[in-house]
Amino acid sequence: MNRECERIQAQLSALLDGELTAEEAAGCHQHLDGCAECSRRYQELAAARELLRATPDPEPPDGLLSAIRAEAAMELRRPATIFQRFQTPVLVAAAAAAAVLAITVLPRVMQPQTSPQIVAEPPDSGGAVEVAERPHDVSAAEEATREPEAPSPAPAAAALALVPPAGVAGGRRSGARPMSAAERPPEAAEAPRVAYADTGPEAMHLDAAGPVAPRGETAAVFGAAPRTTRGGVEIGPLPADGASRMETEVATGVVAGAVVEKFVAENLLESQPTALAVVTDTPTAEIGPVLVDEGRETSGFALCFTQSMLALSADTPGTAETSGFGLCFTQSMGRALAEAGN
Amino acid sequence: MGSEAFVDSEDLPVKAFGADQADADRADQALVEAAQNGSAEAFGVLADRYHGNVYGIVYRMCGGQDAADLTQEIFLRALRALRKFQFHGDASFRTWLYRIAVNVCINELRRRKRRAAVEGPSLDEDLEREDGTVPRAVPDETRSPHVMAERAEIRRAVQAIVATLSPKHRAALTLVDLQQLDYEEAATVLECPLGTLKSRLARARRQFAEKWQDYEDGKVSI
Repeated sequence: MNRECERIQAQLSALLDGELTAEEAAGCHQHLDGCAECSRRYQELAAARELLRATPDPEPPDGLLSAIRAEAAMELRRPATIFQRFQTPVLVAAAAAAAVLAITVLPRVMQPQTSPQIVAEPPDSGGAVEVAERPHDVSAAEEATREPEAPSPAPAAAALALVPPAGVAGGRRSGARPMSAAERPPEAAEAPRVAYADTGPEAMHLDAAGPVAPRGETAAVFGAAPRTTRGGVEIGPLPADGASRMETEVATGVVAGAVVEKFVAENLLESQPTALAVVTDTPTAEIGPVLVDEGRETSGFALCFTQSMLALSADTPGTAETSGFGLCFTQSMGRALAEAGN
Repeated sequence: MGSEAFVDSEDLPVKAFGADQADADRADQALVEAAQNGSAEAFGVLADRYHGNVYGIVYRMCGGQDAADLTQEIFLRALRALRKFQFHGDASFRTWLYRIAVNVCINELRRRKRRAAVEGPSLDEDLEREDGTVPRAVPDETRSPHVMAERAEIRRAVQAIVATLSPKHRAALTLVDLQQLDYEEAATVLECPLGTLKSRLARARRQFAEKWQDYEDGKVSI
């Protein structure tokens, strides 16, 4: 078989399906007319193709469809998770992002600490920074999660801490019933509050990103730096050392804090296993782009978390910034997800 | 068949099929949304519409033994993914469902391979080779309803030869020739470039044709 035959035979399959250009097809036919070997191969191939296409599909066994339907009905009877009740992907993604933060940091909130937490309110709420002493429930922290014995040299990589409505996190873990929205303090319903827990010297180590904002510097920025405005929307101060705006958004809780306050504070805390599953199934890479790209369309929900996100998306209406959303996943978040995955 | 019998692509029924498919996609979309809102009936209609094709893909890819269980698993996975809004409508539901089916099948083939590596090959397991698999024994389907059907022997031979192809070649052949998807949709299902799909299909057909010829010539028995 010469090279021309090889070239023609490589095209025979596409020729059969009409996938060649008219010129290519004409060249093939010309060669086939003068080459017995290629013509034989072509006929074999055509016969095989015809045989395959004429072979009927195997009939599914009796009862398969009814079994699928029964299983589907059973699946649909299961109560939807809070994520499944959301009606748009962006809410799912946003809640997933919040859940990542929640599962990672709730235990830290509940860990015994004596050092102060710096609580940052979202920029559009007008609040700046407050420092508060918070007691924590030791047993709740131990029960909620155990930090894996990671060989990682970076201690306490995730320092993001959601501040749940008073009594909710600790009370839930110690057996108290969930606190309803009506029972929550009014400020909890209105002002999402997110805190940096003072959990270690590398409090904002975002390992996927590269940029690292050491705990002390970040805290100082939150306390002292002036707020900035982008696209007419005030956003929080940026870390001095070059962490991306997206990192800052997530780290300060401007995004996740609000989401947590609206949905998670009431529901997520009592359904963390479900939340873990949802988060685990949500590809990290999809969360950021959805938040930014679709944040505009989420009406009331957007007001809760995307005012500064809108500024971000106006600045970077493409992918460069959004592709870095995964940066918010810190080392311990990754470990939490890995554990959940296991 | 002479080469003159070939028709140009414009004459193929693909385009008309494509228009029909667009209508089907729109109908599916409404059912998908209803299923996402908890309608078991809507999902049941989708299952009714596609379970035969999905079963066919699974049967071709993995054989008949676990095909029903795997088909059920595929639909359950699809439903769970729908409820999590992991289907965004960027592809048709059918394409998306077939992708799940192919992935489940490839995972199942890998699982079988791992199990064979741990437990050692059995006389019933296919023998994995670099260029595909060789059946150690054709599954005994003498009591299967398929065998009772017309052309059962040919169908069995086709299935046995298809099962000797590598999973990727098997998938290309199954989607294009057995399910009769067009190239573009098959490439979408397999998440590979069009050119890759074409070359996989060409190789798969060539292997199938050669083995079928050997079977017809009595060189091999199936």
